[in-house]
Amino acid sequence: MALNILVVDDSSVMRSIIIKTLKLSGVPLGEIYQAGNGVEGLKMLNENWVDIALVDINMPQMNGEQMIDKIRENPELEDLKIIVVSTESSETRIENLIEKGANFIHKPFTPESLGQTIINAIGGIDEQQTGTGTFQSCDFDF
Amino acid sequence: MNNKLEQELFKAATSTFEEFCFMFPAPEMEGELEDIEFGKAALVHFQGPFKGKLIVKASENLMTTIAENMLGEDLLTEKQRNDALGEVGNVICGNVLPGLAGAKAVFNIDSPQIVTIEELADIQPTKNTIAVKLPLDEGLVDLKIIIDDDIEL
Repeated sequence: MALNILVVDDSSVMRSIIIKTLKLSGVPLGEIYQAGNGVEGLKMLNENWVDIALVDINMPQMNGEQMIDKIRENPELEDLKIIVVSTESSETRIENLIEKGANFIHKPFTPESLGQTIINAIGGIDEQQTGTGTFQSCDFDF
Repeated sequence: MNNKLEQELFKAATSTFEEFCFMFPAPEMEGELEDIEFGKAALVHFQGPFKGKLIVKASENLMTTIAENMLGEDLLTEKQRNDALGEVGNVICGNVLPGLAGAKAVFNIDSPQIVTIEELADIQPTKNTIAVKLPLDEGLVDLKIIIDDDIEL
């Protein structure tokens, strides 16, 4: 079954690239939502069922790390899978993000690596609750 | 300047153009591209163990191709073309800095700016300037990292 995905990045070009890459990745997609910063991202999460949030780090108003902290404070979002999509290369910062429960994919990325990161984030298990029902096992062909 | 550092910049640029823009190095084109006229540049400032800036110059035609390839569509606006080059600069910068400062170094990278070649005239190279040219099938990219601090790399 399809995954509802939120893409949070202050660059409209990067959001378009991510969405294009998602469509090439083989991941079954439901609704795709977009936000330009952490504040908008939290608003989208309040208004829509989202399975996975793809989040940039360097954004105005509220950056990705601040957004992740807010998400983790909200019990209603405890099942939300978060993937940080960033040029960040510092091992120190990446470890800090992983400790907050986020997965990480480095820019630039391929459809295959993005798809694999999503599979890893959702655990690749047979059943996964999604916005549209129960997600049965799915073979991704990359 | 250290050849290893030039290789790091070249590697970061090549992987970004290959994976985001589907554009590949064409070293055989380098001689034909020497007289290319650059239109604009992405300027990306960074701060961390040292501070500096990355400059990525491209011709107007190449900027169009970069944006079309990244977005998978044509008839793009100037803003989209500018944003695409800016994003290329952002990604190259994030990928090259660990090669210069080590994997544990923490940098803050500012949002990219798009500037004209004339506006770059005020930016002077320093003793720590790393410069490479990346010839692609579609055109030539000129890259420079200028480190403002007087350090030994």
